[in-house]
Amino acid sequence: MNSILLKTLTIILGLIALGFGFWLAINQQRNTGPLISEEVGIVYPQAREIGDFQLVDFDGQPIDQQRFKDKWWLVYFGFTFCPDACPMALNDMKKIKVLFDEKIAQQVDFAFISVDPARDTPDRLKQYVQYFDPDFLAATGEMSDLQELATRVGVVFVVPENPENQNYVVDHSTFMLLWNPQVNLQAIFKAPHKPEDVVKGVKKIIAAF
Amino acid sequence: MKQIVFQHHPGNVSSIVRGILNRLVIISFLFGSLASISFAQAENEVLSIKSPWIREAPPGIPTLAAYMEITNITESPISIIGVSSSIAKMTELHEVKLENEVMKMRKMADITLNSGQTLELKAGGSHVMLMGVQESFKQGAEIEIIFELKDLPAVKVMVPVKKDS
Repeated sequence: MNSILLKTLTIILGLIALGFGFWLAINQQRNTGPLISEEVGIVYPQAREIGDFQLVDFDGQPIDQQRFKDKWWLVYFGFTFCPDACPMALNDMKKIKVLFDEKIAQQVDFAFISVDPARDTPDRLKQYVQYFDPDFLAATGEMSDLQELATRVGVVFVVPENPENQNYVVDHSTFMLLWNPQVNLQAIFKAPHKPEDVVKGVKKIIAAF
Repeated sequence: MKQIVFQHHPGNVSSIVRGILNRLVIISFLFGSLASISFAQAENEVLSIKSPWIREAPPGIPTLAAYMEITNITESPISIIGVSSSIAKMTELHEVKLENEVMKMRKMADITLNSGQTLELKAGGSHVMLMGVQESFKQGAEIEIIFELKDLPAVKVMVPVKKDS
């Protein structure tokens, strides 16, 4: 009788140990897995260096990388005459800001960088971005400076050189970029941006770096 | 037209009968006209438009995007050969392609919808683009968009302006 009890107990303990082993293995895999899934975006384990840059903010004041220091920034490159992708991205940013818990919200700011300085004057940019959220920053700059900055952060845009009229469209990347407090590129979020996914991603990235 | 002229001669029975007949002719003529008008309206319903909306734009932005589902509800193919709106300097159907994560908007060529086929214009994708809009339209406003069709009368749609959800 005792030996049967002993065997049963051994089997039960064995099964528990096996289950615990599986749980540990799965958990470990989860911890070492990517911070965000491939559909959501890409995290650079070593942040990509952005370097020095020059822009003009929505008050017409020159700004450089120092303006972005000591905070995490979600940055979107676009143009205000864009009727679809840009307002959608800015609306997503607005939702993301609301969804952040207080601790994260204090660490993250938002910026819209216009790649269409010919039409996007500082005044227009201010009106535009503040329609979405009064705390959002907007900036633009010299075309050559914008080209260089975009290239460094992996953003592509094409402004027609001699447009037939003022209603031209600009092809552009739809990434939402995450810059770290040293003003280097830590991650990109792909469109369509699901606010909940970006919020989870940003939280994990801030915790990890 | 002569037979519908009403001639009334009091006291003359045959003329009274003729009068009644003439009235009947007039009434049936009127009904016929009404029927033919409503028939013509039914003939115009060649496209079904579902869930139309225009995204409210920030102040001072002269471009708007309109979205809707357009279905050909006839038995024959229908070609959309143009789109216009009186509030915009230029109106175009734009297709949107995401190539290597780069958003490209281009004017669509003329579109032919086969019987039952739907053209889906939705946020983040193809849309009617209204350019050179001078007025600011807020949520609750309605904007008329006209689709010109090949060999068929144009279709007018009233599209409500809404904020992004």
